[in-house]
Amino acid sequence: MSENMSRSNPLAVIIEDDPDLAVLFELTLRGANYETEIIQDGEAALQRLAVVIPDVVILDLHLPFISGVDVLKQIRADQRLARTKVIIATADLYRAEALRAQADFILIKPVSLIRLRDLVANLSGSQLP
Amino acid sequence: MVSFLNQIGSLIFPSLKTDLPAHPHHSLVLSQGRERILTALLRASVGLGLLALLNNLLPMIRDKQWIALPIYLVSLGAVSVVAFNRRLNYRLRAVMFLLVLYGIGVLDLLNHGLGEDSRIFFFGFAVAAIMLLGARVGLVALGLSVTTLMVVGWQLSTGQFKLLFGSQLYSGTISLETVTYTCVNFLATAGFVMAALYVLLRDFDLAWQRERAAVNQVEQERNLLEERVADRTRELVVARDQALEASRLKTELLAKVSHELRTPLNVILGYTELLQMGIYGPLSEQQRPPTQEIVSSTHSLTDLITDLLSQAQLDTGRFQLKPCAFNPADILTGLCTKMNPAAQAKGLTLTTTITPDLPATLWGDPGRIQQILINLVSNAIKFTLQGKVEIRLYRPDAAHWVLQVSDTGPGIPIEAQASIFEPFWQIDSSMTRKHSGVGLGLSIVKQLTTLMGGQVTLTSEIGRGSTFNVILPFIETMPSTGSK
Repeated sequence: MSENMSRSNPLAVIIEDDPDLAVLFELTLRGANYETEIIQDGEAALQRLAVVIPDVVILDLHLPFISGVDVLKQIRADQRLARTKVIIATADLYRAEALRAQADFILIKPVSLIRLRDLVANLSGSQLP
Repeated sequence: MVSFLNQIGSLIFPSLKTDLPAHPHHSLVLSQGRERILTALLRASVGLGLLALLNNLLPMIRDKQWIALPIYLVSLGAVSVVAFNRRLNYRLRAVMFLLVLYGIGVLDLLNHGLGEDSRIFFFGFAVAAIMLLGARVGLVALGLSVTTLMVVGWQLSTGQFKLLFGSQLYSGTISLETVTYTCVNFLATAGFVMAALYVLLRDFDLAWQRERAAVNQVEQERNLLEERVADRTRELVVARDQALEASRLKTELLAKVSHELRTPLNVILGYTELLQMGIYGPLSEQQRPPTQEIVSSTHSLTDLITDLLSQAQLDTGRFQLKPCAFNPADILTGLCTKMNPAAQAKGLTLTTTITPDLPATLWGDPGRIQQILINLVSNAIKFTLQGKVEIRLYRPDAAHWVLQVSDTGPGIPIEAQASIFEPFWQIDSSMTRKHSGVGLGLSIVKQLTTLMGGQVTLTSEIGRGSTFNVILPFIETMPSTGSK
């Protein structure tokens, strides 16, 4: 909580094991005035999410150690993260479709960064004063 | 009882051998033939014996020859047993029959002298012996018969021996000349018939052997041929398995390569988009078209890789649809984001319509539906010089829904309409130079549609444009498996 208080910009946590793609997401989100953190596996993601309350989570489904599906389950089970928006970014269309009810948005890889930017711009517009 | 008799038979006649050839098939069939002859002879003998008994009953009673009755009955009983009991050993049956013939012959001889009755039995004895047990036994039987005739005849001629029952026919003595004449006559007649029979039997054996050999050869050759066919089949199965394995490895390699190609392509796409977004500073008007060209080309390349992978999977039968509930509007949005720049670059308008009769959620394989649309729309944009490209999703009836892509392009000549769905086909080779692509798109569209249980139709008019309809079966949305 305290970490969030000190922040003026919204926080986006990027959970993605492909470093190239993670950097692309990061650059896009920074362009939309987000603060960003990159986490490369499911286990580290859960540890970090127990501490911070991000405004947006960009979530890959195929992650080392703990899958994105389980990470999403944990987020949805956590009352603290009730206002956190989850954007699934995956090439696995089929698994993504099955998670449509739990996720806020689904982006299919190859993700159009322009679409991602528009999406998060709308989010921050509606969420922040 | 039967096995006991058989044992006795083999004890008494251990060395008695039929001189049948050693060929297994031959001896089997010939012995079966001889057994049939034996059985027929025995049964005929039983009948004839009964007739003879009836015929001789009155003279026997008249002459008070009481000893003859049990001899008749014992002989008949013995012949009946070997005639109707097929479980008895063949040689035992044959020898018993021969003994009965010989015994009756001897009794007749002692009773009636060298009359025709006894000679007929000796004749039958010798002939049956050669037929049933072979030439050697036949010669022995002939010798035995002649010797018996000669000894008894000589005894009768010297007058030292009287006939047992004082026969009506030969009450007097007999001269040695008559005995000699009768014996020689018997020997000549029986010898001639036996020789003739022996030759016939041998010829039959030889013919049978030859036929058997021919049959064997044919059988051998057939077996050889069957073996060869089996060998070839085995080789073919191995070759097919190897080919399938090679094909599987190729598909796997292709899948890996496509993934490896896609990753850097996504990075290229990402950074170009970041440039377009102005993350690295605003782009000048001059810089915008080339960055857009990079984006469009990267999309084309990604789509081509998708098509190549699909074709490889379709070729090897490894293609699998992954149906789920999906939102068609999402697919169209993604498609427009991707295709709009290319359309705008050519001054074309790209419009999408979803008619309200189509539910918001459909059941199908969204990835493949997207692939079909990308192929149809990119073709339409590629060939259309001015006007518009329209995507329309609608439901013509309760059982179907349709992806319709129409353009205002040059149209497709009627003679080309059937072949455009074949792989690697383009209207002519000059098209390949003018337009990018390998000609895989429409073939993939057709194959995917067929796999989904649908069909593709095309209406086209030269100078007016083309309309592709992908008609798919409408499947009620099933509950999403992954969601809670």
